Amino acid sequence: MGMTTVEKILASASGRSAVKAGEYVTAAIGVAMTQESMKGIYGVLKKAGVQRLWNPERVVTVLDHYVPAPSIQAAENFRLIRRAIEEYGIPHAYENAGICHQILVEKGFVLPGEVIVGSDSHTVTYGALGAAGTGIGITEMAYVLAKGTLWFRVPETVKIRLNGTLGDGMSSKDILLFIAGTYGSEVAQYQAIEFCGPVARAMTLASRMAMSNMSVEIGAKFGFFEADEKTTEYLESRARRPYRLVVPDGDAAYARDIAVDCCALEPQVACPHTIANVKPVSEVRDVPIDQAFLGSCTNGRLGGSGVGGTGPQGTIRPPEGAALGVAGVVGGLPAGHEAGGAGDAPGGWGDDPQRGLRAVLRGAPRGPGARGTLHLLRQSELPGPDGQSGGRDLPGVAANRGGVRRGGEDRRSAGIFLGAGGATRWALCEGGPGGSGTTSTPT
Amino acid sequence: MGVVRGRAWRFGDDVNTDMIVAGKYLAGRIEDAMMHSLEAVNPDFAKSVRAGDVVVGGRNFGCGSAREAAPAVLKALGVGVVVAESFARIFFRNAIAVGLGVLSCPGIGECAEEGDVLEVDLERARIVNVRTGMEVGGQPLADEVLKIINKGGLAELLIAAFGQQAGVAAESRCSA
Repeated sequence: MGMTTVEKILASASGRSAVKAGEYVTAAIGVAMTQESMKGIYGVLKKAGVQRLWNPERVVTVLDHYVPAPSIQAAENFRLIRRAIEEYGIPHAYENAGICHQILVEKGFVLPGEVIVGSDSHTVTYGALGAAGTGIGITEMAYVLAKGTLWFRVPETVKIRLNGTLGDGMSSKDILLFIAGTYGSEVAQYQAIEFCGPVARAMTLASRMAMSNMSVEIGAKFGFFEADEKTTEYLESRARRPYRLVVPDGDAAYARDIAVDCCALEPQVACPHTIANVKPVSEVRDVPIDQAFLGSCTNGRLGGSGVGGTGPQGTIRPPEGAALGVAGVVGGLPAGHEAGGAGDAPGGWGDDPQRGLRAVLRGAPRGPGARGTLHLLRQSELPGPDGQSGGRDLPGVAANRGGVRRGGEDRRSAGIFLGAGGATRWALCEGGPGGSGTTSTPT
Repeated sequence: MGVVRGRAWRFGDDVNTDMIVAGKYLAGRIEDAMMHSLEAVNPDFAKSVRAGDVVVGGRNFGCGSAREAAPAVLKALGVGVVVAESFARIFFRNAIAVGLGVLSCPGIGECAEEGDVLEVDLERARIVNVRTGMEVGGQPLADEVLKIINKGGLAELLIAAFGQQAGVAAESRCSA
């Protein structure tokens, strides 16, 4: 019997020639990623008396969920984390640099065939490059940082074939939402997914990342695409180490085989209150938008399935009254490749980063017909911290043009978030940041 | 950990981590948080649960936010083991990480009434209902996972490996 992608990767990482679903293994970790939860991890490490990490070179710390610090406590946490980075000599530490998952991909930490753990549920994103990325808890991460290994139960795999072609105006996220709506949010509970078929092969890495990222919303522990020439080309100038491509065997055993006809799809909308309450946009019809957030770690990227799919100079038109959040791009847009550019919902400021699309359709309806125009600008056109224009050239950041009307009273710009990390700039922000006061847990 | 013997506390499907420990208690002391655990679905649970008692969950137990405080609170309350039809993955892993016994046991809901005394043998993945005499099997855990639970969690393993025993008390706050 052949092996699936995850069976091959976990067999290799645990030094075995073969494993099968249901077995437990102790796997060597390729890379460990932590974000703000490093504070808690540091606490566990200190209590346990861990003085040296297993391999600081393989540890990446990214502060991205609460930047800039929205509270004194968050700022204090950052200080502790910086101390941890210093104390343990972690060379790859990023702050104000963009979204953790995007950074790990852009900086060449994510390699096909490796086991990558992150203290963040969307670590599954790395499956887009053929890596076994998955989220773990704080104590587990402390253990990984100290020992470099972790136990895994080898999961069964659901094969999802993406047949046909994807129509204009569609993105890979529509497919994932369709799967969630059709098969439910537990369709891959505690299992791995292998996305395959012509649509998967035709997808850009950015589109694959959006689907792998959301695999966790349908229960998956890993969400793989087969690494191909797009992957190797992207990694050519980035990969930090040699890697090998992992291809599932033709006679591997799958728990389930699902085929999706992408030709038949229209844009999908996840409605309140669960990710599985998905409707085609034609059924939802006109819903005025109160808040829009375009910068989640799922698909807040330029091009492909990115921000509005419009590219750095496009225009989107939400209705008047919409509060717009866009997390920005720091990594830049690599020429000829659209997987560049980062964007995530900064949890401390915006709405829940895991529910970007749902935020779009939240709140009470407003009057029809209202219009506001939002242009995607270069950062040089954006207001600086003092409200004056200026700053570095940076694609993919949006600014509201003109005032908005909400709830019968005029407000100037009901909170526009301009960029994550170092790119963060506020535009006129009467009424508070983000227009949403929700704070989410950085997981 | 041998055989756990305790009363069954039954819960339904999709009990999420926010029900086990609400977000508003995360920044406080675990002693305060635990007194409110699962109060939304059973106001008596936190007040009356005794050491060794068995939480019997439905499907997808521990779904929702990936907070490690959820299994930590149940452990602090003295819960001996959580048995459920199925677990959400992160809760399952976090429970093992903090040294709380967990056992997936499809069909357990039909074998245990509220308050029945259960004997749970985690190593053999067997559950006996002392009242009815019925015995059911769960999905066995691997030896390395049982070892983590028996030692009290991964942090205890680290302490053992790195040797700083003195002054290492259980985490006194919910949010590590």
